[in-house]
Amino acid sequence: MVDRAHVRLAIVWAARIVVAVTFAVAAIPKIDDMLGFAEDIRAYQVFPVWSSHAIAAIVPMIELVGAAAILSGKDRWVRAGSVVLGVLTVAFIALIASVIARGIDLDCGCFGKQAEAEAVGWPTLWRDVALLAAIGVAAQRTRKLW
Amino acid sequence: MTWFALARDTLIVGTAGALLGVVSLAVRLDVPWLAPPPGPEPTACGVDESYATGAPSAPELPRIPVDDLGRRLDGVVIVDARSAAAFADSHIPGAISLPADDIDAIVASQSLPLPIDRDIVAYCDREGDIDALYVGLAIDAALGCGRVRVLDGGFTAWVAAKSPVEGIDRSG
Repeated sequence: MVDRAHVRLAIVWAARIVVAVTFAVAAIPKIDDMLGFAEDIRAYQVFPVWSSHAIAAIVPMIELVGAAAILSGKDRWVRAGSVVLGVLTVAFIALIASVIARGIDLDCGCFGKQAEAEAVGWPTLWRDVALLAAIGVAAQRTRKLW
Repeated sequence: MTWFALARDTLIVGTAGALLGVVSLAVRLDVPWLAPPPGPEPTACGVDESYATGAPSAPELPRIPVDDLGRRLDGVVIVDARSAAAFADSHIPGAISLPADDIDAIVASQSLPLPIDRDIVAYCDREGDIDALYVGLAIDAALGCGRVRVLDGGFTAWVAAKSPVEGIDRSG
């Protein structure tokens, strides 16, 4: 019997899967080609140049762990993972906004260097806003269904 | 769930990711932890920008007057393009003998006895001789550094300026 509680459960889990898969798919090529990602980071011209390798190593791992936490199903870790990925996404949005404001033309690097060069602009920003909304849904409790 | 618990769990997840990232960075041992972007390619020969000739294929090399060479005697590599006999007789102190006749063979066998991190000055007998230019261009092409000059006036000018020379003792 399908009722509101089940629909809500399905929606929350769909959001969790979408968020986790998005971040995992984003993280893996960046882990694979760390140097390429470091280059993309430098192109943003926001962080000190010497930090680009550290950032390139750490951010994708945080994305991966956050994605795993969301898929874990345990409310405690789902919430924590959502906060972590949410903070990351807010940071990405801020970065993109800064790039748009400064008129820098660069390749997003969001899905790694190998991915088709994706110019950073408003579409990228709105996509991340949608991701943030999905994270918000994914963070909802599923143990108690309301 | 309290805010404190959420903050703590968030910190745990974030730190776990950061630690994994640090480990992944350390695992790639050939990547420096904090690496500046690759700078401009280090110049092959010497550090004096004013020595740069530009295109190594130019049929001419910049000149250096005797006085300048005299001042820079220790910092440059000096190449004697004259015959071995002339070199043995008398040459600029510290010079290396690379006669114009032999330079092609030496370059072909890749046994140029020259360090590539210093400026190079080639000289021949006198102004108007092209041996030094020939040897200098060959060296420039072989090393590809664009840091080779020719001594203005050649060995004749060097001696005329009463600069020091080395050579076999001719008293006997």
